[in-house]
Formats: sequence, structure tokens, C-alpha cells
Amino acid sequence: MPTALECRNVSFRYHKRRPVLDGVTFAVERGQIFGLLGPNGAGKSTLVKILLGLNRAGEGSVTWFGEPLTTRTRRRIGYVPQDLALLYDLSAHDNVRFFGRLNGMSGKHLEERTRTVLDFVGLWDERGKQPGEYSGGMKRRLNIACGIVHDPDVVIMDEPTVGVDPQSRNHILESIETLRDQGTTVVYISHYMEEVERLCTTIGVIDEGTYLCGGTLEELLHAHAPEAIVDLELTTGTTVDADDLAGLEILEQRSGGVSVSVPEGQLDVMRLIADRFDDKVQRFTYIPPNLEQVFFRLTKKALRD
Amino acid sequence: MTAIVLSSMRRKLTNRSVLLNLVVMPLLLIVILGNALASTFTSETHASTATHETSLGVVDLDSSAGSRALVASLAASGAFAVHAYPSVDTGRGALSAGDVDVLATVPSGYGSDLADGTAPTVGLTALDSQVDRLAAAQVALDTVGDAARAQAATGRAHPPAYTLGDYVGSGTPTSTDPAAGVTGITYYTVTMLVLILLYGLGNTMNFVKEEYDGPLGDRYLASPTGTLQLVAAQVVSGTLTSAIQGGVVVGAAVALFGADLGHSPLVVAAIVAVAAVLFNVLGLFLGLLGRSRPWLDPLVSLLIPVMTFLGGGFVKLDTGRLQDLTVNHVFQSALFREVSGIRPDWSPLLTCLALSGAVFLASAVMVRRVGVR
Repeated sequence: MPTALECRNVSFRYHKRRPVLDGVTFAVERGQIFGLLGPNGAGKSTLVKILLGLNRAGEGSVTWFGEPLTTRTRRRIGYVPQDLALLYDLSAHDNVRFFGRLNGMSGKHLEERTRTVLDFVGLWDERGKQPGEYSGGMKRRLNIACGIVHDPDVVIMDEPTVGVDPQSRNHILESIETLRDQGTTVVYISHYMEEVERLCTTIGVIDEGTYLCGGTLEELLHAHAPEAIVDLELTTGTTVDADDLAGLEILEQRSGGVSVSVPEGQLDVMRLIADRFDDKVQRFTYIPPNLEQVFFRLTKKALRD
Repeated sequence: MTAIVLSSMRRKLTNRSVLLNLVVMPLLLIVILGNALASTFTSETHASTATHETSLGVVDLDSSAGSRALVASLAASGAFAVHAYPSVDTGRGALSAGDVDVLATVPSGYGSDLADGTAPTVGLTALDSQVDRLAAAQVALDTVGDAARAQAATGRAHPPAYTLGDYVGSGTPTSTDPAAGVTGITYYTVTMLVLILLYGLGNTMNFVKEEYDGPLGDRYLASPTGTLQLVAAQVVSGTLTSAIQGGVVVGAAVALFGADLGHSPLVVAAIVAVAAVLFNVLGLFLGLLGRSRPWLDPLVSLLIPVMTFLGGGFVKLDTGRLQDLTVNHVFQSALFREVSGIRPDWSPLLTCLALSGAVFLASAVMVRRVGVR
């Protein structure tokens, strides 16, 4: 399948500080929803700015549809920033029209697309209102409409559901699935594991500026999280020996707690652990194989740290 | 670019608070000032009252019989309380200290010019704040001059005793400043026009900072619209806004108070356009610079009223040759010259245009500068 975006060995640092991005390499094929997953501060937004040409990479290269970023390729890219990028003294309708014009649209086509995208995000009936009169979720939806009005081939969405109510969040996720069904490539940046798991056909994991791994969800789970994790929080002073855990792989041992790897669904093991530590167990967490676990195994920290 | 200009203009002109700052405030100011000044400048009674109070400093650099006769006639006219000073410096010192309202400088060679039949020039200097006294003094001196001309015409074979010198603001006493002939309301209309244009700098700076310091700027810059087009759109919308403001000030001053801005609206418009472009380009540059330098915004916010105070003629600083670079000199003088029917000096204006071009290009580079956002 042809490549929509290719990012090769991209590094970036502000002035002479520690690198924000260090040798990031990945590719996004056309028609995919590519999820870039990482905690806050991982370098996701910096990477987005480099992809869009807003910051220049210190090293490496970015190509869109096999070409460097040009006016022509920019027309094929939509961008939905993490923070709302709206003109608050214009109506929703005029906002969408404005960003359409900014992307080279005009006339009847612009009018039609304005209606289409406002319908798409469920705001056509409220189009006369200014963004200030909208709820947080509606503003987010308008933010998306402004980013896709020019019918781009690929859309970068940077944390589009941050701070929205569950209903609007669901609406946004359904909209993204519709975009995918229409053949639009989506680069979906998020720190919400559930959203990435639900939406994305391929996933890249980034932390502290390093691209840790990439692939389909199944590939990632198979490679990095074949087993579940049991995390125990124990009363202060409780010591844990490997013998106490019946040979289970200890992933992390800390003061007052331990994380171990267990074959998925093996309740016997969990019963054994519970019996061994009994009333010393303050909290018992079972984490099935998922992206959270992939991230944990790669970084030894939780995704939301 | 047109989309950005139109949307910016629409946003500025439909936003109530912006509209208040852009149009209503200048309009109010010109109406208040116009009413305050009208009573001072349009009534002959007031002018003659002011004449009686005029304290005239005289520096006689010629010390000839002719110049002494002139000083004597001024003293005898009853229009002035005359104080003599030995040099221009001491005379100017007295002017600055407020000891005299107007300073008359009789140039060296006055007597010989008179004898040769050449009309000599007497320089008049006053602070901007004393422009009313200067106008009144000018009227009185005209009367004395007319008397001298009448004497000449009755067969005494003398040339006119003198031709009137000029109002010079804080400039050189012997220069020919065009503001000599302007009325008070015109003077303040021009001053306010230049100040309003200067305020365009702050408006554009704030607007640009708001638009380009965050996700909205990222969205602009991620679009296929070119950088030059983006920054040009900001300058064009800012310049148009300044032009509307200027039009409000001038229109109100002309329609309500009879301010006279000369006979060539195109020349006035050209001077205004140069000023509007310069200030808006500077606003653009400072707005972009302000994204990474948060201290710049309060500094400019502080400086603009200070410049208003200085530039408005409430306080006048003598900055020597630097005076040639001031907003007053470049734009105010050009407008005064036009109002007075003198051809404006275009070279400083063209220099401003060139400077605007350079700053504009720097802004286009800076808008994408790595790491500033």
C-alpha cells in the first residue's frame, strides 16, 4: 500500500537542551488510522509540529506522499490541533469557511464542503453561534470541522478528545471511524490507550522522544505483552522473595509492592499469590494484555504517569 | 490572503470593544478637543485677548539701526511685553523656562537687507503648547508689518520692515516651518491623526500576538497559504484599520470644526498610508517577537502613552539631530507642509517605506522561526 507519511530518523532539540525527539522513524500507509501513543511530555506534539513543517528537524526527514512538504502537499493535509484553534468572534459557519479559504477553497465548492463538515460533526443546526456559545465538546467538534473542511487525504489529530464529555467523545470517535471508512488517512495522537485500541489499525508508541515500537495491536501485544500483569501493593515492610511467587517473572519490585507477569486467565496463580500474602495485600490489580501493559513493559511506568 | 484580510477586518469592525477603541474613542477625542479648541482659535476676541498677554522675547542678532527700530516698534505696538535677550541660546532658555511665550529672532544682516531692498525674515519660535499665543503674536506682527508696508507705499522708498517669520515648534528659529499658517484645530487634527496611526502599532502587535502565539498560528502556518501572504494580510488589515481610524478623525475634524487639511487629499492620503504601513509593520514585527519575549508587550503598552504624551505636544524634548527621526518630524511636518501648501519632503517618507519593507521581510522570516512558539 502506498505511503502517506514517512518519518525517518527525526531528531529535535530546543537550543542545546536534551533531545525532545531522538531518531524517530515510522511510516503511515494510506487509508490507515495510525495511532501515536505516549504519555504527556513524550514528544508527540513536537513531532506533530515537525511533521507539519512548523518546526524544523535537527536531523532526519519527513515526506508526505513521497515528497517533502510543499504547498501542494500541504493542501492534502488536515490538522486538528490539541488546543482549540478557532476565531471566537466569528460564527461556527464563518470559522469553517475561513479555514476553507485559508486552504485555497472558494465559491460553491467551499459552501458545499462547509455544510458537509458541519453536518459531519453535528453542528449544522448550531452553525450561527459563535464558539464561545458552544460546550467544550462542541468546540472540539468545530475544531475538527475546521481541520477537514478542505477534504484532505490525511488528517493529523492531536489529542482531539481532551477535556470533552463522554457523549461528545463518542461522537468524535465515530466521526474518525467514518473518515477512515471514506478512505482518509488519520494520524491520531493520544495518550488515551482505549481510544487508540478502538480506532487505530497501526500503533506507534513513543516515550521521552524515542519511538519505542510500532505495528498492529496484535503484533504489539504478541511482541511485548504476551502475558497479563498482576500488580500487588503490600503493607509497609512486607518483603517479597522470588520463591513466594512460584517462579513467576518479576517485572518490577519496589518498596511495598511488586509486579509480576502471569499467563492470561490463570486464576490459580492469582489464588496462590493471594494465599501467600493474605492480609498483607492492600491492592491487587490484574492487567490483561493491552497497550497499557506494552507501554509498562517497555518503559517500566504507567502510561498516565 | 484576501480571506485573512476580509476576516480580520470583519472581526475588527464587528467586535464591539475593538470598534470602541478603533472608531468611537478617536471620534470622541476629536470632538472633545475640537470643542475645547474651537473657542480658543475661532474667535477673534479671544485671539486679541491672548495678544495682550503675550510675552515676547527678542534676540537681535543684527544690532543695526533697522533692527533696533523694529524692536522699538514691537514694544511700542502695545501688543507685546518685550524682553530682550543677547543670544539665541538665552532666548531659547527663557522660552523653555516659560519666561516668554514667543521668541522672535531678528537675523544678522537684517539692517543691510532692509537697506538693499530685500525683505528680511524674522524667526518666531514657540512651544507647541503655546501655539495659541504664537498665532496671536503672528496676527499682531502682521499688523505691524502692514503698517511698515503702508509706510513704504506712501513714498518713503523703504522695503517692508520685515516679512513674517515662522512658527517653528521646537525646531530652528530661521527655518520655514509650514505649521505657521495652520489653525489650532488643524494642528491638533494632524497631531491626533499621527497618534492614531501610532496606536495602530499597538493594535496590530496585540492582534498578531493573539493570532500567532498558539494553535491558531500553527493552523495558519500549516496551511498552504504562504508565509509572505500571511504576514502581508496582517499588515494590510492593520493598515486599512488605521486608515479607517484616520478617516474618522479627519472627517470629524473637517465636518464639525472646519479643520483644513490642504487641497490635495491624495497627498495627505499618501502620507497617512506611509505612516500606517510603517506602524503596522512594526506592530507585526513586535507582535511576532513578543511571542518569545513576554516582557515586550507591557513595555510597548507603556511606551505608547508616553510617546503620545511627548508626541502630542504636551511635553517637548529637544533631541537635537535625532529630531529628524521622530514621528513628529517625519509625518507631522509632512502633513503641516501639505496643509500650508508647501511641497512635503518625501525623502524621510520613502526611507520609512524602505524600512517597512525590511521589517516586513524580517517578520516573514521570524513567523516560522524555530523554537519561538
